Amino acid sequence: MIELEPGEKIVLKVRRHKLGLIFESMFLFLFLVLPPLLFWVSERAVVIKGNDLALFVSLYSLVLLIAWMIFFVIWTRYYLDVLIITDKRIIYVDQKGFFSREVATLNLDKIQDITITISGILATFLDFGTVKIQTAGESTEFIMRDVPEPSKIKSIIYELHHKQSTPPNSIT
Amino acid sequence: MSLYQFNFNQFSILGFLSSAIILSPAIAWLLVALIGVLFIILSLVLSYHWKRFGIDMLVMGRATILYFSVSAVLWILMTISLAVYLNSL
Repeated sequence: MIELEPGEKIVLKVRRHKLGLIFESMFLFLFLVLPPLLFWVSERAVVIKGNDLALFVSLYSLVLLIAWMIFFVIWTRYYLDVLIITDKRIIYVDQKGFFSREVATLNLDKIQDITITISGILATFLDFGTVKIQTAGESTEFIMRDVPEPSKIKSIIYELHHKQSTPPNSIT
Repeated sequence: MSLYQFNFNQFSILGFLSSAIILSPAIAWLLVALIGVLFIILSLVLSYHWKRFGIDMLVMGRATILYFSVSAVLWILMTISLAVYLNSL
């Protein structure tokens, strides 16, 4: 759980584009299709003792259960990998694995430059890309790949950065 | 000089596969128990991560309900159908 400072508000939570999750879990489709196909083939080729349909249902349920568990492992990694933009700072949580997690924080006033990269047909049409946030002084660099609407994220961060750097009672 | 010959007609691949598919009840239930243990371990790890690192409690709650309810259905289906199959032997 991310602990916020008193008075700090979450402005935006950014995760990778859902397409990444779909691509990562696409191989699970085989778990869904292959067992019925194998059953259909084996019914003609192999003599199975006993109730073969019951055996198929049992094995298919097992395969689906394994696929279901794998999907949730992928989803959890996807969901816990998040860029949190608050009105004071940016928190980047990189869930590398179940037992490896990296949390980096960056104050908005330290931001020097934000670069967005959108490359590829799919990325252009579905509007997702890489957001790179460079900081002043320190070598920390935030890179989040495949985020949806990178231009919007960039403008929100710049807006918050501008608000932070402008004193509240300054005359413009 | 003696010639070693192998009669391929005596070996039936279908027969071999059929004999391999026969499942003894003890092994079948042992496998189910093993998968059950793996399922419990993985579910504990997942639940821990959802509770400890989840930001949106509503989404995490929904994920927990969905994960465990579908898993329960699949478990029940697997166990019942396995029992039916073993009884039919």
